[in-house]
Amino acid sequence: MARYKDPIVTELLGKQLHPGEQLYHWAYGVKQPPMGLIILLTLLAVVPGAIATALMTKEYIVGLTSHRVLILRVKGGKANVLEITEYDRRNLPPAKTSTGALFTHIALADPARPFVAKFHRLGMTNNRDHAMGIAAALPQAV
Amino acid sequence: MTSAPHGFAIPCPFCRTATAASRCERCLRDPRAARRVCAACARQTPVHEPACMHCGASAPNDLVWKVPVIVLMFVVAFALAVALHR
Repeated sequence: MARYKDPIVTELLGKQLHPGEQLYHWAYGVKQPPMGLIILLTLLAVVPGAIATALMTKEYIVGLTSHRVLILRVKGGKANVLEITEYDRRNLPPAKTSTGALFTHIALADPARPFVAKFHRLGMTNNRDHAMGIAAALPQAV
Repeated sequence: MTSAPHGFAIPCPFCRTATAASRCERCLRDPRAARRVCAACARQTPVHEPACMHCGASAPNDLVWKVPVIVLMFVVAFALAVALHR
């Protein structure tokens, strides 16, 4: 079930670390298209709707380091990095986080670089614990 | 020059020059800006720049092929449905 194994993810995030920076938590998350669109596409045709939803889903690897929150947009089985976004931990935007039975949701309300993703508990080994660790380090929006 | 939030020099992801400033002294880009990895040369460029700053390759847009594929899938699905109901 796990999308990526820990060594792949830690190696990817390790390449982005600055000298002296430590990696604390890492998690795999996805951002799906809006739920209304998923329902509409599935109602139109089930199989093409499911494929379209999968095509429009973005995959992320998020890392919490001693200095930053690193967000890598990845694709493919080898986790090719497409985009890299980082937030300084001393200047983090307000976040909305929640944890349910299956998913941990994290949304960063940065006006210039908003980020939202959900992290399935089986996305990676210990994905839930890592996602909750990242969420706990984020300043909660009021 | 503004000092870096971390207070120590980091390699600029775009030109690899060590910088402690909020804007790289060599390439004049924000070393902490959102960036994409070029599919052609695997080096990094700020996401707001339309072409790779190293090799000039334009940024691929996934929707260019995904939207036609999705539309085609639905057209095929409807064509099949109509054909099977006759």
